[in-house]
Amino acid sequence: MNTHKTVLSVALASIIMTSQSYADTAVGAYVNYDGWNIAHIDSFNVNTARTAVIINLYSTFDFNWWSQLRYQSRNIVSRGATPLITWMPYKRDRPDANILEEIIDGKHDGYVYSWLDGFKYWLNSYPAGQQPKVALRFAHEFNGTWYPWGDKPEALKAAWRHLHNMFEKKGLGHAVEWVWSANNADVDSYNDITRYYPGDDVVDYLAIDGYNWGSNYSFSRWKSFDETFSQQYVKMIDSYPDKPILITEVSSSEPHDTPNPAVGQDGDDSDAFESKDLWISDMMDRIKASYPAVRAIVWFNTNKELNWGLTLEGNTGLSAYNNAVSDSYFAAPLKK
Amino acid sequence: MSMRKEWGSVTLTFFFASIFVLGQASAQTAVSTTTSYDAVGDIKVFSSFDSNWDEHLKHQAESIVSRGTIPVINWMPYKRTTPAANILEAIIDGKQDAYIETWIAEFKRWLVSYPADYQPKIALRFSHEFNDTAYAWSDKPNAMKAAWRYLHNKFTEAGVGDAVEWVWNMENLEVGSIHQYSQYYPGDDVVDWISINDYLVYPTTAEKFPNKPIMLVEVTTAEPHEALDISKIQDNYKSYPAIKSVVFFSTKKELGWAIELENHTGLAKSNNTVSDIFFAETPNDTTIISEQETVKEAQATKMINDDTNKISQANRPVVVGSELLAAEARGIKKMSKKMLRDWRLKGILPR
Repeated sequence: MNTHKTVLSVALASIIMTSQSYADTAVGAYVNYDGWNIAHIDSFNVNTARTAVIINLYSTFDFNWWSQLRYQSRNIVSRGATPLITWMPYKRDRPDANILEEIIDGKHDGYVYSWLDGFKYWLNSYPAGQQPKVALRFAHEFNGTWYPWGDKPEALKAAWRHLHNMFEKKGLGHAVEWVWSANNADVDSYNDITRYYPGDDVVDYLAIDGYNWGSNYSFSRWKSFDETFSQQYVKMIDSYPDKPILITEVSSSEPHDTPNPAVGQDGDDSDAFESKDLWISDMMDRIKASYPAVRAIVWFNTNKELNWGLTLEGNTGLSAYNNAVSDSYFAAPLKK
Repeated sequence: MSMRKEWGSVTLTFFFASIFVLGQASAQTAVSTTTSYDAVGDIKVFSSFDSNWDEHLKHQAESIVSRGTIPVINWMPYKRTTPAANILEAIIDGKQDAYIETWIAEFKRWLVSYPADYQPKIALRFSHEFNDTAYAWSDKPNAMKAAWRYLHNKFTEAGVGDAVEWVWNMENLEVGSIHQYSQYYPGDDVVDWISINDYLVYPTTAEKFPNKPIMLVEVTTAEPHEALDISKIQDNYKSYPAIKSVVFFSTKKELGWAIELENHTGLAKSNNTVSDIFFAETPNDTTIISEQETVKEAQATKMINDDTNKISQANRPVVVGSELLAAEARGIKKMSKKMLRDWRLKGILPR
């Protein structure tokens, strides 16, 4: 009884003390090497003013816990972060295969059970009460045409429930947060993400990926955070008002990025006078002011076809980011 | 030289061949006595002059450090290929320089892979049980002292002296031809810890090395006789204030000298005793406190969230950019399949 009272009064005291500016949004990142190289996590944390509490990593149906995920996740957990495992229904040797259908047909059950056994083994290597959680982002950007699992709402829902059911059967449901992650723009045959929704009972977080491509494509121009995210965000809070939302991939290109035709960039350099610093401070202000359902922002900290990073060579925007995340609003752990 | 010398109490640690993770507690905290192992100090790793940092020790050390524990590396001057060789002499003659310098360079690279405030320490227990006859390096007091100072100097020269605690470990029974273990002592300036294997030699040890903290390692008792009750051992430590660390030897090596393996009886008693706050001091008190703060925050914010879910409906952004996104969608749909795959998939596929 006394213990309960103490916990309650601590909780109440904290609410009273923090009611003006409570910590609401967590920060995280994708960093190079997907958790394999701890130095890249450390480097991000050293350079930014707020330690990342989520680290995104990409994995496919070629990989499991025994050989890969336990090392990646151990590294991430050792830095106090939750692994956000982006689990892509994809096989390297059959890049065009419809893996979603194969999952529904039970053809990957052996692989998934082994994945689960490895996951359980890894969890149990931690003391009871200190076992980490992972966030599982299956088949992300399903409302786009670029991935082989995209634009397949019925198969996605059935495969999702098939997998979720296997986790429950193995008693591992409690250790996983299921993240349902849409692209900001609907680039599919439906223009309605709810067609892909597998159900409130099997989804813990909604999520959005979005990028400011700048003017590097003929069909894009420099667009603000609101222009990038507001449409899908509002669709989500209207459709699923009780679900928390994560921004699982976000970045802005650099004003000094110029179009590279070799990777399909057929735009111009008319965004040369924009500012990534301003873009970021506006993003953080907007999240605080008008996106209360957002529980985390996960920066895409890598320079691939455009210079998306914050902390890498040729990047700007870090000082604006650091300024923003110094606010206690961004001190939150990952939570619903 | 060592923060541990200032601790008022003892860290109690189990050495276990595989990963054996212990929960943490601080002396300021009331501790649950039923389910958890309460203290963390060090976990021991055996290593010889065949092992180097990047290939072997790095992975072991990283795992140990990730659990808030200090790796105690038993560095044996021994090579598998030449089991009878006098490696101590080879060290003094500089014949092991290349190996040693590579080891240190790799170690240094590992250290700086951690953020400045989080760089771990290791404890090096070089040439342990030197006053025995069991090992190729034992029973050689002069070579032992010279090799010790030679190695110590290499670490200092490389600028990593602060990251290493030097542990000088004797065997309790002086079975070697040189019966005075103090003849093996390389000097106060190069030794951070005195390590003994049994508390019975505590009185003479503490008297001989009054300024050094004492680490008790490889202590255990044979099953099923329980010649020594673990709780009795632990009670005894309290009479030995210089003992600052205890490492249990918990692998089935010779007898069943283990307390957490199957059919062994000491664990319940041990858990009971380590719950005593005397054993609960760790160098990570501040970390632990901040974790507790986080838990409190989490409990508080969880209640706040019930409110934010409600206000999220009223407080919402005005939708802008729909036309821009539609234009992007039209543009992306016109791209070739290969171009799209290269663009969105190639960059993130694990190699």
